[in-house]
Amino acid sequence: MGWDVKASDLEDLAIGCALLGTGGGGDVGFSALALRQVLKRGAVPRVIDVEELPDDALVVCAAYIGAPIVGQEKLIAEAEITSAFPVLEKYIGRRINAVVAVEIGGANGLVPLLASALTGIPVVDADSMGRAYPQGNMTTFSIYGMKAAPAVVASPRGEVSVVEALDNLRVEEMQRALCTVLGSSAFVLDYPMDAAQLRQWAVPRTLSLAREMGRAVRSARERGADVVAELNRTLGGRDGGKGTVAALFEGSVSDVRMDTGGGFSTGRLLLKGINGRVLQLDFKNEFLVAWIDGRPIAATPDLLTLVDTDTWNCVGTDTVRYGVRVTLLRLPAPGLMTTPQALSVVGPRGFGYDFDWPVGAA
Amino acid sequence: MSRIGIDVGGTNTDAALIDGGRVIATVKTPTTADVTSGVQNALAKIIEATAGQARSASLVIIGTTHFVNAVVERQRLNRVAAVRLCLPCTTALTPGCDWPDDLREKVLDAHHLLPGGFELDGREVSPLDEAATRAVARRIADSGVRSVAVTAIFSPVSNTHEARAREWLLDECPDMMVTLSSDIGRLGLLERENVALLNASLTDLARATTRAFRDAMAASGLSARLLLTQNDGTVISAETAERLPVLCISSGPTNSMRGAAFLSGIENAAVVDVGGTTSDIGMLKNGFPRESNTVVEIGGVRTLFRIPDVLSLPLGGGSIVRGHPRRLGPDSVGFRLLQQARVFGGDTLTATDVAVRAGWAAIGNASRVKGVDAEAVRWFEAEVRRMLEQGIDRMKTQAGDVKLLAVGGGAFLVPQQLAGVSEVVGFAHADAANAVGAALSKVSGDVDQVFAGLPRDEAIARATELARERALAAGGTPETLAVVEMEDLPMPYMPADTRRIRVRVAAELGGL
Repeated sequence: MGWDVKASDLEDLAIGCALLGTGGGGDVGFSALALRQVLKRGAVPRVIDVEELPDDALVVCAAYIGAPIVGQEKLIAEAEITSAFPVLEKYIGRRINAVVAVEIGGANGLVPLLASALTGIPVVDADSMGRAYPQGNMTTFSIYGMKAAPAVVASPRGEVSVVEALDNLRVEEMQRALCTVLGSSAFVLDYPMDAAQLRQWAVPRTLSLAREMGRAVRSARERGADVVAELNRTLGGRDGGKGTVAALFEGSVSDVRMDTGGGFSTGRLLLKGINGRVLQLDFKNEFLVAWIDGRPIAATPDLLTLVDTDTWNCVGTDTVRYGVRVTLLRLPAPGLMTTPQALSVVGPRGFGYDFDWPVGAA
Repeated sequence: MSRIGIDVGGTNTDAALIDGGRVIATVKTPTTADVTSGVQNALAKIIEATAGQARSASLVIIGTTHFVNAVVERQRLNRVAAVRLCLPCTTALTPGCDWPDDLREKVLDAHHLLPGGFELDGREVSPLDEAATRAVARRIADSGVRSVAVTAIFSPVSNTHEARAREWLLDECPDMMVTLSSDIGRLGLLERENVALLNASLTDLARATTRAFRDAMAASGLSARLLLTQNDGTVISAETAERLPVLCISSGPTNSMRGAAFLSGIENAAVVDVGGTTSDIGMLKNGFPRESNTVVEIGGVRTLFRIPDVLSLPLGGGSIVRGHPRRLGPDSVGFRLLQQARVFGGDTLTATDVAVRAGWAAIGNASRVKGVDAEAVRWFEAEVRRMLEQGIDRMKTQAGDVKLLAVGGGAFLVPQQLAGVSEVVGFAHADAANAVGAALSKVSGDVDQVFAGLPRDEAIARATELARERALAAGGTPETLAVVEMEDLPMPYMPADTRRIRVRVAAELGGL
């Protein structure tokens, strides 16, 4: 079922996208703020269900790329979004009928809504990760062999470049190089596909999921109720009852080790629990594997997300510090991310670990 | 050379006289609604307490809540215009878009977006448009607004666009007060712009406040130089404070921690300031409070102020103690302690009462709390201990015991032994540590900048040199310059050899 986005949805969407960001994905606040401003001017982004798309509809992914620190200074214009669509349409020779998120986790979860508000093109209730990941090849579209090209990269000046390459990794490299030239912050459209392909390979209804999660957290907090219980009450029944949230561990951050070589924030946290139990949480921009006593108790593609125990604000790999009291949550991975094909890319072995998903319970 | 330090708090205005590096006297007097009378009273009291010696002080250093009160209460703010040098970027998020509606309507007259600003590597986003900028200046002048904040993209990297725009603005309207975001803010456009706008809204009040302080000093027979304390615990001249009042928006916690460092002689420790309603815990590093890295909201406006990272616990001298079920706070009788606490003849059981019963302090009439049973006292002690231990642990950045400096009027509530604390340190004048801290403020030079294309050592050297220059410009003596903080921050997704460096250099005030 489709729905229109209203200002009252924004806070819930922001909370949900942050939770699904699994510790990364960038600051949702800016996208939400920009969206709020555009909505004030009367725009109404329309969210449509994957099933509602006609078979021959053309859908593209929309996202911002670039350095977060540049994003914090140059914010969002609108010209980069409005100039990108006509160029890609002209190149392909077809109208774009819908946009979809690459990653629902973090800032980019809301970017397609912003694009929709500015262009009138509806947003599909879906994404290609069900969370956030550090690399472009970690999307369902890439994993299941869809082509990222033709793609466009656009700047706030309305400068737009078309990218054509056969190899998806090369497309990403070219996009990043163009982004640097354009001032380290750019808007990207890629993975043009038919609705049939989208239906087959997208993780469905993740915008709705974000909104429902956000609403559950917000309303539970307002009432002083158990947030995890409320989340499960809201999400239970999704994915045939598999959509449950588990609070795996509660403690405080006792050590942070991070390295930023190669453009990623890689490292691990140690969490110390009440009885002196220690949990190790590995990350590469996003949280990946949780260990207790040398055994992995939860791992990618399952979602691991950290919240401040007192405020329920998300704690990211870029904001975590010693001493913060946190609760570690796990959500199950979408089915599309648990096939052998997907696991070779986003499972533990895809990140260099020597074990398989699923891992034993805590 | 002697100095008077004055700190205006929520309940009390405290004053201290420091001479030859020693505290001569400290006094307390209630904070008044107009603030200035309380300052005048404090000056009178310190002069009396020192038998007139305070009159020959050469410096008066004041930490005040005038400015934060104005923002929080939406009172005494002037209207401002926002000029942002940014086109074609940032258009989706206009100045003040994230402000509470009431504050925006009260303060923000109009916003003007113009070409300008820089890329991370120092190239221009767009060249400035002189004609367009001058036209905006004339529009602002015609509107009657006389205070403008100018913010350019990446102005902490290069402030030339902001400076140029200011020239044109003043040329078109010479009596305009222009705030440049690069003078006061860090990286993060919206937050830096917010700080600049808040500053622009405080310029009238700043002039009135410094004038009132000067009048108070003259009325007390003082001919000292007037300085105000900044958020980070260093001082700025009254002239600078008139231009950049937002720098003084929150100096209380800093003064308190710096005073604790001086009085105890310990530069690296946790500090807990126990007041009437809250206990504020901060961490001292090299004599300066550790700063907050997160967004700080002032009156609902997002900023990135350099204010101390302070954890506020609902534990104070006036915290109400209940029996069924047992609860400590979070509410407090606050400044009505002297009327409502049992030891002062009132009916409310407060933390002060139980502390007196436990023998932690000799305040008021102890016989009025004889009825508090031993079980309650035990529970109270365990609860106070738990709150403080947890709070201190949250504020630590690494494992291991820390020293704890206890200051504030309610410092008697702090147990002598706490888990995670190697030693609880008490000392004379602890209840007026904030005024002492104000008196001892240094000057600083700060740099928070991105360096591209330089090897790490060279980037750090350049940042340090710039910070030293700024500390000297603020009045620091060259021999006392010292780097007190240096951070090399990671920058994901950026090309190699791009790094964000933060350096702070502190120095003693010249001529002392």
